Amino acid sequence: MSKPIDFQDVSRRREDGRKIRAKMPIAKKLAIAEELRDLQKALTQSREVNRLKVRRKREQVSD
Amino acid sequence: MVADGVFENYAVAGAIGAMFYVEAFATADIDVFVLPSEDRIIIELPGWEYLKARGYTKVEKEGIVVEGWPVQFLPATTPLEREAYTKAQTLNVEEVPVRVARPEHLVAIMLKVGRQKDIARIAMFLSQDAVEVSALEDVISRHGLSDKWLEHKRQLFK
Repeated sequence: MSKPIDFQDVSRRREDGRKIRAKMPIAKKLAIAEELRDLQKALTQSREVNRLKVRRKREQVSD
Repeated sequence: MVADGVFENYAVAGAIGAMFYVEAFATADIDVFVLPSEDRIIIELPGWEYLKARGYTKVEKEGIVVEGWPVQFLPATTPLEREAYTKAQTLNVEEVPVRVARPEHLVAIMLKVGRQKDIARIAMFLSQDAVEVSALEDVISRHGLSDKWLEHKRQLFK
């Protein structure tokens, strides 16, 4: 039987990872931010489509 | 732009400023505090003429696009913003010195603005040990944000 997931441990390790990434050189962080910015731009259209879908659904429910 | 006298000085703030202290996250623009010119009403984007003359003519999200990033030069008008501007520290980006607002000022500004993304970023600063709480609370109390801070802490530890 597999061991149950210790969510507290998972979240602690995640936080530790974040603290390490916070200390990365700023040039590296800016490069990541640039990639994220480009990804955001690439996703704009599909996000908008999803937003409209959600809005339409919400309007249908409230009608 | 400082060397050319466009601005007396500057301080990187906002999300990019925050990234100097916490892990990288998505953002669309760069916010830079500058001092507002006192002798004239601002009728154009600060830095616009200077950058336009150098070929940066695209405007996106109220910022002038420089090397792919919309840069917003924000006049530091409130006492908190002025302090963030004045007390900014010089950090290096690959040997290039950059003036960046201190973490306690960035967090205090986020607290004051209070959008959802600001609240999330405050949590990043606290959980990543990126801000000295005593320095932050000093800024908070001096700028009349103690009630907001107490409310924030109450929400955080609920």
